[in-house]
Amino acid sequence: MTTEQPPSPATSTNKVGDIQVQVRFRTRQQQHAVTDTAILVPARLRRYGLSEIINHLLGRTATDTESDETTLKPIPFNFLIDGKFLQTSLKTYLDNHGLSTENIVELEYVEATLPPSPAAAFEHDEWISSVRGHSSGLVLTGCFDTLGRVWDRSGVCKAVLKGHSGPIKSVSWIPESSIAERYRFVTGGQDAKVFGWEYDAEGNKSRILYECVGHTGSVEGVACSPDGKELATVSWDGCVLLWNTDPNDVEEAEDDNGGESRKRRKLKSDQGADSSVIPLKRAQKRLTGHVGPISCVTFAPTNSAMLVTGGWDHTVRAWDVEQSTNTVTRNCEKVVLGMDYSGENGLIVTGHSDGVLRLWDLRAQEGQTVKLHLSSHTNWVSSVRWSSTNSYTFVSGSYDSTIKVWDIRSTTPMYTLAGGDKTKEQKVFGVDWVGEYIFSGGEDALLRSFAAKV
Amino acid sequence: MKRARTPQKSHPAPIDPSTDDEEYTLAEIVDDDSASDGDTVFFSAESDTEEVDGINSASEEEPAEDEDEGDDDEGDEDEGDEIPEGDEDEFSSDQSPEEGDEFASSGDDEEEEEDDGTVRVLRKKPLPEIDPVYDEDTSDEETANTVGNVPKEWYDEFPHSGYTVDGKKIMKSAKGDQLDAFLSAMDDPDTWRSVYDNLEDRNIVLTKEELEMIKRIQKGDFADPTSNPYEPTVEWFSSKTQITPLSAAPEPKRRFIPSKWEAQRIMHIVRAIRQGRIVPGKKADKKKQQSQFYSIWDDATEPTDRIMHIPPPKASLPEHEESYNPPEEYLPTQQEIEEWEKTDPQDRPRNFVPKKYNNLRNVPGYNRFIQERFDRCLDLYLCPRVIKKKLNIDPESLIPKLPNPRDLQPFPTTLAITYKGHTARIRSISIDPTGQYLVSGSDDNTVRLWEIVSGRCLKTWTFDEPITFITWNPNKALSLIALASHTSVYIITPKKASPEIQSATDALISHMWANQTKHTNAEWTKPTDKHAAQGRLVTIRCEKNVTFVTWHRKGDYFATVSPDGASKSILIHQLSKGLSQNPFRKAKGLVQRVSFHPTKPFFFVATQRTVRVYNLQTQTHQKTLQPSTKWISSLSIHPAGDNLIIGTYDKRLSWFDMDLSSKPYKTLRYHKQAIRNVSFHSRYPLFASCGDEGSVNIFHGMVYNDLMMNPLIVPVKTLRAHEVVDGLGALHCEFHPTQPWIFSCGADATIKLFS
Repeated sequence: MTTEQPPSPATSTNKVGDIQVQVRFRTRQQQHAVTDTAILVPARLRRYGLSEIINHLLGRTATDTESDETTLKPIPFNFLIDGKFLQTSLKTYLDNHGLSTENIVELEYVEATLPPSPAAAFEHDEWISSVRGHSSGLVLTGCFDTLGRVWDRSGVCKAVLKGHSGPIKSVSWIPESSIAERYRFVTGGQDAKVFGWEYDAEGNKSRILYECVGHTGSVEGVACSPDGKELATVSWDGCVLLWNTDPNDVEEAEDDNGGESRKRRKLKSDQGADSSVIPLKRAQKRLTGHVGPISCVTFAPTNSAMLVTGGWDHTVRAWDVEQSTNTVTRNCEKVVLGMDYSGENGLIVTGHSDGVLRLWDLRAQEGQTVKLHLSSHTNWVSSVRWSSTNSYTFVSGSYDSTIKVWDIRSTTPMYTLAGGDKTKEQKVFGVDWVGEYIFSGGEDALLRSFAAKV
Repeated sequence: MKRARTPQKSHPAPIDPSTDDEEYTLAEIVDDDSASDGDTVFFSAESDTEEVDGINSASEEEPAEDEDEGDDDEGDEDEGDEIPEGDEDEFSSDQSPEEGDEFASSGDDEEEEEDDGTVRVLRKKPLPEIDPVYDEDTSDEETANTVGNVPKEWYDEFPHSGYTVDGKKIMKSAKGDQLDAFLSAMDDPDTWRSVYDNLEDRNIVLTKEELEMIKRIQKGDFADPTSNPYEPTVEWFSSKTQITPLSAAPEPKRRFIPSKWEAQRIMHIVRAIRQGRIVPGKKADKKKQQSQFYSIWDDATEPTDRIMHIPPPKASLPEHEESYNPPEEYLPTQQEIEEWEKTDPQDRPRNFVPKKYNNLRNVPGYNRFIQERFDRCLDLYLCPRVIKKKLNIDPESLIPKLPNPRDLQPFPTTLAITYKGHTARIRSISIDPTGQYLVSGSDDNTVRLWEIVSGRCLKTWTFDEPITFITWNPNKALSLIALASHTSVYIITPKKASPEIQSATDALISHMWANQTKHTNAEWTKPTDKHAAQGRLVTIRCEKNVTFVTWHRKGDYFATVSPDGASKSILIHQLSKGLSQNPFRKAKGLVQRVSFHPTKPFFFVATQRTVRVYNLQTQTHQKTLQPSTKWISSLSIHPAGDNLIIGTYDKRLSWFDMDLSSKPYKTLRYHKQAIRNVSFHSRYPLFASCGDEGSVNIFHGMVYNDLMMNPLIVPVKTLRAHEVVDGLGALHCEFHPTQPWIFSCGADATIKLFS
């Protein structure tokens, strides 16, 4: 933290006629902290100019040509004013908000992120409906050709999951359940089935652990609680089913009282690669309340007892899993297609059929239902995911074949990535953001990954 | 200076300072002259002008004045005379040139005039400018008042009246009383022509010329007595060749090179003659000439709704008794006169008594003239005056107040998903009652099943003929689709439902096969195993082409329409029993569409011109709706059942309130081409129509529970949905069962979802 004395207002050499504003710089990134005194800066400065000032104060003045070890290279910074990103010049901002240039302006600065760069694209046979990345580097995709796939970072398809008889609509890893290179995950498909799987990385084998029986409609979403013990699935039939993820807590196929379906299952398991009978699992709880299909589900990352669902009845509902009650119901006018719950800031972001992203704070009392509307997508937003490392940023995938990276401190998207061929109207169905990677899958049948350091 | 020089060159001027140098300037001339004797040049010049002027304007005074000015310039200091006399002027005129320095400056002016004079032979002698202020100023410079243009009243209270150049006060002159003024006026012979100068605080005696000028101005003449507004014109440039021309410049080149513009103009005419646009020697068209003038009253084509001209009735010729000198037999007898007088004036056969006069001059004046005039005026006064009321209504106020479409949301606005896969025009689509799937029937003989939310084609069935209509069973407990293709109706199951629903469907079909007894109106057949594996359940063969299929809300009965099936054009089939009934013995017209009532046992039959409503329970004809259109294309019944809309091939959409009348409540004309389909939303107050121009119109159609309130119909959106292919645009449209979204299919082989 080598800070030199800031140039005093008297000695600052600025052009006559420039309006100057007193600015106090703050940061939460302590490694980049500068002096707390107010500095007089020209009001015409934009992000870049302010960033230069900070770098000057930090002594990061090295140019590319210099190879001096002592001077450090400048870091680009972004500036927040009243919790929003400064996207204009200081003067324009103050004018627009009717603020005086006489007062001291508090500016918070954060290290700017680099735009995500396309890293890889792995080809599938059919449209990808759902994508989930794992912190170990594995990526799970659900496909419209009824197959699930596990990929590693190098683009090798580690496992092909055969089991569903209809397109897979949703996939999810089961967190904290992996014992030494054994990864567990669940898939839900249009055939109203949910399968629990295990992938053994050492033997490079995958097998079905159990089949969850209970849904009567297409399974649109699956989610696992943060402790990995609970599994929630939502379906077109309008109910939420809760299961435990314990592979040993299963019924034997003989216990199944539906004679005909048992016969079918036996027949199927005979045909399948896995010759053994698939253990069945019954739902522990059934949550009803939605008046229409449910499209998405997510657990609160900090609270395994809280579940949030969104459906075609235009509602976002929060449920208490332990008591099986619907605690909060919030209504909007559009179908909810995708949602994610941020553990760090407690906000829920939802994607809708009007291309608008809505941010909800379910902790807030009635009144202001939607905290923030973010509109930039031109078509339905199919899926959204918060960044796992930054509590302000999330990613959204839309039917307008774009993926947008957002920061909730800004009303416009930070970056827009191509998720498909726009001329062919290739839709994006699933996005995920794990660590430094954004994954997306859609109608172009490519698992795209982007390196995004945030 | 140049102006002064040129005449010298062209004319042998008396002043010729022996040099042809162009740069020769007047200053040099002056210097030279003043250096030399000075009397050589300018005197002769002056005498010249005097002679000329003498000839021209014949005024004796003017030369004198000329000198006067010169004199004033030079000699005022010596004399200090404020009242220059004409005689004195003449004296000084001779002497003034002798003074060297001053002469040089005045000679400047004189030379110019002299030059002008010599050139312009007929020019009048210019007068020196009369500048009385200047005169007076120079005469007493030390007391010049420099106070400027300031009201003199400001100095009323001060002893001084202004300031000199040096800033010293100029004291006011002592003023006597009226008597003093009078005495001094009596003493002074010039009182009558003296004027008090307020600024300088003294009297100024006007000169003779100034008085003359005042007089002339008062008369309205030119102030300058020598100015002649009617000077003879001088032809400087004429046809005559001058011996000494005004300009010796050679003829410019353009005088003897042919004109380019003229050549162009000529070529233009030549070209026109060659092309025959101009015929030389042909006289101008007579007709054209005539049409140049026309009577503006001649062809008043403006149609009149009243007779413009009524000729007055012809006055009958005077008869004998009306004559001033009638024959004896026409003169009434005394008895007749008495009789005439006795009768009421209204009943008299004539309003006069014939009288005989020997000659016309004995005829007296009309004795009833005053009376008749009075009667006429009284009539006019008493005649009733009807004030014609003019309708003055703001046309804007006649437009019904409709709510803003923005307040009527939600309704479909933007294209969300395009379902691509068909290769020919899609005639029909249907959405499953839960809103998850969509089926489409196309002219490429295929039926496709789509997942709505992803736009993915999940299944394709291929048939032998183009699919004309397809519709999903409205019963959520069954998973069945009925479709019409050529003369057959197929019942298929998509096998996408949950096992319970699927088994119920299978059970229903197997039960039907078991209970089926005989074929009456249509032949029900089982599909082959291959087809059965694909999901085909039943094939029903009719006699003629089937164009339309519709289900009863409970999903057991369905009706089919074959327009050219004559008495068998409408068949009602019962799926659970495998039966086909023919409820109508006789077709009342070309049947277009039929529909079951959503709640009551009514059955709607839309023929080409009318919609008939039948009660199925009592088997009676209930009502006939008359939309007064030429060809009905489609029909949709409001989910509440009391209202229905029909679309027609003559671009109209009619809304019927069945409680109201058999005539349409509203007829909407928003389509430019034939309407192919109309549809109500089952939940939202929306209805839509699609037409051959490829667009889908969305309307807000609110039906109130209050019977006194009429339905509210507001057009909210026009969606440009499909491209027109072979004159066909959007062929079918249908709303999503739960969301305010609309699907449309068209001739461009696409299905589109608007959300």
